[in-house]
Amino acid sequence: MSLQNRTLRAGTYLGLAVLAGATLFPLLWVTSIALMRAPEAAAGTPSLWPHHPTLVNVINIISRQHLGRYFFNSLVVAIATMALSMLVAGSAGYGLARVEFRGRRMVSWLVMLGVLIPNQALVLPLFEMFRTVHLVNHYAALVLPAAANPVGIVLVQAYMRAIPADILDAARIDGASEWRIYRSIVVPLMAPMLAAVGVLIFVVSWNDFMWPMIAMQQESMQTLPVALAAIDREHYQDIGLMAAGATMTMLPMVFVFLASQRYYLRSVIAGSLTD
Amino acid sequence: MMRKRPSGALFVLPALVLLAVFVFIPLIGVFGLSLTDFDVYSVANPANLHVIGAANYWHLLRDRQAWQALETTLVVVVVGVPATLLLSLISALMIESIAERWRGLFRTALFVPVVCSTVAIAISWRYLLNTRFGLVNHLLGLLGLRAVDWLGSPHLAILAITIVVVWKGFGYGMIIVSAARKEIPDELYDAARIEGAGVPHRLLRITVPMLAPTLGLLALLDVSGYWQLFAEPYVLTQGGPLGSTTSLLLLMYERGFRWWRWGAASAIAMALTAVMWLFAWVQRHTRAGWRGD
Repeated sequence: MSLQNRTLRAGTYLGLAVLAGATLFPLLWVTSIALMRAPEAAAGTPSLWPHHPTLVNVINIISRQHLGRYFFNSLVVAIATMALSMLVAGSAGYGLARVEFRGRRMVSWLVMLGVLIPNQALVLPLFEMFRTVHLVNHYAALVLPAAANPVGIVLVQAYMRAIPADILDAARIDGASEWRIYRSIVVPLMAPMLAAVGVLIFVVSWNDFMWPMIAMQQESMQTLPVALAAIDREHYQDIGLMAAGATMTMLPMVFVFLASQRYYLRSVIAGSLTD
Repeated sequence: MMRKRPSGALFVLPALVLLAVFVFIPLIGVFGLSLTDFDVYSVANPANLHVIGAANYWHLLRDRQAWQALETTLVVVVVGVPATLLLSLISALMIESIAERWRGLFRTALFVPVVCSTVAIAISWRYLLNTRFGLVNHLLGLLGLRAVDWLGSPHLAILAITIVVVWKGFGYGMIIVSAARKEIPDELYDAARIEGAGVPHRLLRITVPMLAPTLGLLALLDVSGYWQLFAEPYVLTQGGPLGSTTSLLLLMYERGFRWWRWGAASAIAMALTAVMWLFAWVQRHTRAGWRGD
């Protein structure tokens, strides 16, 4: 190996190490602050790790700020959104890719149009709608709009198109009903993409901010990011407390991502190929 | 082979209903609202509601806050998107060039910020950027530089927000570019190597042109994401100092849910949507150009 190549290779590893340090450091540091007592957290010379680790911030944010309640809300909303999205995107993606019916192209086109509508621009009429039917401050106010996610449909549709139609046709000739074909053949076939869509939607739902802040005006119904932003307005000077809140909001998604990385990244990559 | 079956429509029905109720009807709703003077008085008594045509849009054109919000949002898009694309590209190419067994580790490390809550990220960065005990200023101090009030000065605050946005976002593009890089056939590189082409030549003549369509799509994804900037300024600066970090969506939110000026807020929402469609249209046409040659 020439000297030039060796330098290039060393430089590549060094560059990557610097980048990885830059992305991970803020997250590690905030976790570390969460474990510090107030004087250390706000020291003029910042300390990198807690010299006298304490759980006092974690205990405070759980007991005084009811973080457990918000955690529970986030979990309910994320699971319900994920389940409903998978049901909806699975059947619609399959229907658009592999079943012929009147108006199919029109529906496909509407789904594509849906991708191009910034959903945060719709919060005003959405709020009015939910207020009219008295569903503000209900989980449904977060779950239903989030399940109307065209991205999941597009992902499943593209995935199903890549699967040979022969398998389905054989079953149709055998006289199996569409529903039966869907349940016993299609769902197992598209399971990997459904899982990818599920994880993606779960994380998006957990992290969603603007609409949940608007729809959940009642404190006990707020999700983690919404509650965190509200606590922050009042307690931003309590660095340890806010660091604990931030860490406890992020950490579950980091674990979800680490555990389902294969599926998660599949949905990211597929999203760039479907267009 | 596909046969017409009436049951096919049933498969898409749930999705269609959800999209209609929660996307298309609200879109029509926001357009309708933008043509009215819906405000706090109309909430109290619907008789105070009037259709005023395009007046909200005319007001918007003469609204200094709206222009400032447009400028702020555009700065984040114009500075942030190229920076993100460049970082996504560089990190993806670096990852694809190292030994297989290390790739997963770096990929994970660079992607982690993408899955983190923006609110939590903004809180974390506010402490990093703090004037008194923030680590960024401490490092500047070690280099003999004076502490910078990142979030307190109008020019720096928007820069700081752009940095946070890019830091959180580039890992997403890295994954996509990385996958696209794998699709480039090795033969192209072998041929170039035999002809004696060096690393820069291969990069500029093979890699970048082959990745152009992917980067084009990525640009649209990044633009549409950054165009909807909201949580970062909401938490980090609350739109200040002097309104310098109030994005279009933050302005819409304040007009709509703080002052209950729904007509005016809806006009901002429509403008935001229209510009996004313009971005998508431009992207589609440039991509068609790339495909053509």
